[in-house]
Amino acid sequence: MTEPNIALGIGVMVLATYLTRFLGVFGMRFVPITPAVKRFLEGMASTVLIAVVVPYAYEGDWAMRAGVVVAVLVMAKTRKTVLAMLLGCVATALIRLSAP
Amino acid sequence: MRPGSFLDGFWRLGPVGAMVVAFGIAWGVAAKDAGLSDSLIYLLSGAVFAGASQFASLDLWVGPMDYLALFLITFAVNARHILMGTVLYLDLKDRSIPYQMWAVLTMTDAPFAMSQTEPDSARRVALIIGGGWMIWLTWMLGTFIGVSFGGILGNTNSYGFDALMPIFFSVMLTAVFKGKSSVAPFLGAGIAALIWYLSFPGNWHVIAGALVGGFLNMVLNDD
Repeated sequence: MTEPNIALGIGVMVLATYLTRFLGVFGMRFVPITPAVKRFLEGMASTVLIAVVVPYAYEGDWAMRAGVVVAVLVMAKTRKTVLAMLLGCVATALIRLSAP
Repeated sequence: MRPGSFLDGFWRLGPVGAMVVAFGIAWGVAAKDAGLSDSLIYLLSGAVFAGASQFASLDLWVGPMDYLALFLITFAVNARHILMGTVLYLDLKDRSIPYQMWAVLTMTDAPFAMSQTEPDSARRVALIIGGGWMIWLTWMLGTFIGVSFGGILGNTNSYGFDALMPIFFSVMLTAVFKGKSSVAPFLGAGIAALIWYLSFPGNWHVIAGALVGGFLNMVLNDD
């Protein structure tokens, strides 16, 4: 493993990552935005978050899942983002501390 | 501070930035343990700026370089950005290509998630760009702390940092939940993502879930 190889490797990763960031915006230039396409995009906008969370919930322990439930309930009730996140994390930490 | 300005988006990601510092520390510690040089660790954080793919690349820097594997793994882990980009296009379609290229330079999950709870288009873009730079700065700060003081901190997961991200995304999900019309797309996406995640390697479960969610929303919520 030499310095030029590392530099090229970083270049490869930067290129791959930037492509993922730009391809979506660029590609949509060629797609007509019909009402159906718009509904599709709006559906993806929120459900992409679900798809990110699912493995965490699956792999995580019960303390993490409980924290998620607490955070969701607080958010649904108060609509206060920071408060919900804080209480969720506190719940996870408390459960882990009390039942190691 | 003008709503929709760069600073507006920047500061709104502040609380999330605190979590990102924690992840940056975890990255710095893990990368150092894997035997990466300090300069490589900083370059990956600063120039690639995509945590999950940085972690995924850790095994590929020792031994002979496999550039194709590096490209494919990075692309797969970050492929969810493509979907975010297609969604953001609606807010960026009247802008020039250079502006679009700049806007997505720091596009990451957290600002995107928050932007989807924001009804105003200008403020959504401000969150992506300004908020993206908040995440970049805090990611670099965390990387620095992890690389410099990782030995003292030990295993950062024992502090419960691993619960921060799922909790953040769940809160964002609650914010974008629209009631009855969201149930089927949310459920469908969750089930599809889980099945894919359990069946195939790589990170394509995110794409699979979001495509199913988008499709269900398109078909079921025709109003």
